[in-house]
Amino acid sequence: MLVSKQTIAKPTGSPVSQPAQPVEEQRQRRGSRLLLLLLLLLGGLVLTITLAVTLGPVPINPLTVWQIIGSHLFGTEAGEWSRAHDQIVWLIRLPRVLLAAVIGAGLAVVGTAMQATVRNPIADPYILGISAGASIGAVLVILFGLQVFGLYSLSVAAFLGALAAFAIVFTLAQQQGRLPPVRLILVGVAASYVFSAITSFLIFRAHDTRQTQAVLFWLAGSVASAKWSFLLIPTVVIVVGTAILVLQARSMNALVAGEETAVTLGVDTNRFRKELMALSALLTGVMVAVAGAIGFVGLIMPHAVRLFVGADHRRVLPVSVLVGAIFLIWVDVLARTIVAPEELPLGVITAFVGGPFFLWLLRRRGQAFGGSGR
Amino acid sequence: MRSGWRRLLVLLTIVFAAVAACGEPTVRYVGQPQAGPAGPAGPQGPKGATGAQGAQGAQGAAGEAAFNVSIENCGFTQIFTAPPERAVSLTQHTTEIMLALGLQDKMVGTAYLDDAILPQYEVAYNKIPVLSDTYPSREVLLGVAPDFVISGFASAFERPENAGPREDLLALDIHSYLSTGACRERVGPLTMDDIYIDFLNLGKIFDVEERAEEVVASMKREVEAVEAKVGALDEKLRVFLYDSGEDKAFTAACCGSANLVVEAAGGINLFNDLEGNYKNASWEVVVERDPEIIVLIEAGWSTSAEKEQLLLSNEALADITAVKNKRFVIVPFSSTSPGVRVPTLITVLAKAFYPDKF
Repeated sequence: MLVSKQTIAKPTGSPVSQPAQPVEEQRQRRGSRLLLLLLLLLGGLVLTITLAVTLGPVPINPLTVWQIIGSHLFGTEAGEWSRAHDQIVWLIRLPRVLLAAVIGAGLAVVGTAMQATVRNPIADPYILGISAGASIGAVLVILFGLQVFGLYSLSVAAFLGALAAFAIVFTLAQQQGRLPPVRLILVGVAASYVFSAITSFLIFRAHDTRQTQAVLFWLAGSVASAKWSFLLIPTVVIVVGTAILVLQARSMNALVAGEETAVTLGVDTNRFRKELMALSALLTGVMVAVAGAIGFVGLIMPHAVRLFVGADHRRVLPVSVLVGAIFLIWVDVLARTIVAPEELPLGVITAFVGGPFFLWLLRRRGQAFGGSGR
Repeated sequence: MRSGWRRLLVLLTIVFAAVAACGEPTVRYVGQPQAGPAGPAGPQGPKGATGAQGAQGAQGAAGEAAFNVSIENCGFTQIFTAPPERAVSLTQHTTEIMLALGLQDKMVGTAYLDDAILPQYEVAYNKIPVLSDTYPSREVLLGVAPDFVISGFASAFERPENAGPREDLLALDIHSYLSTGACRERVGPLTMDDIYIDFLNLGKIFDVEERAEEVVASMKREVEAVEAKVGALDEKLRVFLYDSGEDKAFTAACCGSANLVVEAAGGINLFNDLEGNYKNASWEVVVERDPEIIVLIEAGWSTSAEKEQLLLSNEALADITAVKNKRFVIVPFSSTSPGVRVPTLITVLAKAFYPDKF
């Protein structure tokens, strides 16, 4: 765990934002309700994956789709299908759906973590200038074809750009070894503008309108690059990173509750904040590298989840994992079907579909809004 | 502190290990050993480790013995053991090149038309399914089971939302071709030979070499005829090619086909000192360099009428010689792409530049 355990008081289980007299029985009921919700969402995720692979611009019988997947997974041979359909299902759709799930989960969790870290509800995974930094790397590769790292040039360049941006923002935001949240946000925003200016300059120097279009597409995010050989890195990193973050739920609660409370609970806020930030930056860098800067999910998903389960990170984080995954899979289904035979970048749909939905949610359950983000 | 950072270190190690692992080709992607009954068996000739050679081995088993063509194109070498039967063209000028070679029966899809297809190819073109108005997504492309994909713009193969990398296509036994004019590796101004080579390469790939040589010969004749008519020039006409843009002008730079046609027609490209195919130029410099004739590109996204209007209504541009004399020549966007239309365009431009010589 990121927080050194020795100083933490024996876990009392009492979330900071909750009233301080939780009856044992009540807590158990809460726990089992959360478990039920998680099981439901898990079922929803499985159902989503099952359906999502059967949808696409090329119509393929759902049964055939699963026969194809079965033949690859278990070596079963049943039915007849064309090689093209086999490639579409196994090499395009399934990796895409899985990548969307992983990225969606990662974005939602990192968004939650960032909002807790800087104690600001409008923070998102890109607050540290990460997407703007990654963009410089990506744009260099897209526009000027700098293929230093072969096939993976774009991802490597974006990843390096993201980490460089994070290092710059992280260094500049420090003040006598501390990281004041407001200062961090300001530095992040200012640096983002500088990085964006560099990106704009590069785009302006481009000489092919189709490349400019490719840049815009990348900037709005997409999981079109998904393929088996590409799935391993993001999956491993995001699953491990997300797991670590989810395990920090209690400390995040303490962080959000405020400096004094956190100290009382034995959390070294300054160090914990830095560690959270570094881990979030790493995760975001990986996600941006494979899928571009997908907006909205990391910003809004934590709030949407909070509207349902309250502000306790022990509930928000695991629920965010599943909701984020389900949401982004469906967004990608739309991305590859609504303007077929062409494709849309994900950022367009995440905001266009997710925005109104969130506003509706906000009006219906508005009282609960912002419970923890402050 | 210690445990936290150690965890991060472990994570970073995983990342780099995974990145390193990715450099190697994946078994699943290339071999597909468990492909269904309809899928072909994996590579049979275990002569090489790379995906390219593996794919060749698979085809070689069934192909005729005589056909074996190796083509190097934009730094990417492929071996054809049989002429492709299911070609897809992703851009207009490559579609027209294919049709000029009479390959419509070998085509299963076209895409990304900039404007109308040449009238002489219309009948053939209409028989081929149009996959998309712009680039089709990878799923749609694979949906027509192509064995050959050709594009006139690098972006088709550079972006995963389009056709995706040529290496990945080859792993699926799909060969590809990128128009020489669009190669990233190409340096210096585009020449007519760069255009001819695409015809000749495709002639070899599709086993229609004679037809390709005929087409190239007739293109050469047309270009040479223009050269002969225009003859030696004491002073070349200063030509400004105006593609699009309002606050700045998108124009032909040193090294693309737009520069080629202007110079082949005996003009001097106003911005042949800028690098690349197309570049933005500021109006100030256009005024200073004072073109004698302006080539207006007719495109759906920027009509020649709009551009003429802009040139004639802006006071700052009123003193440009070409504007004063209203010397404009209008050409469709598609004709400036490096394809079959280039010789005709050169003729049109030469006639507009030097009407007395025709």
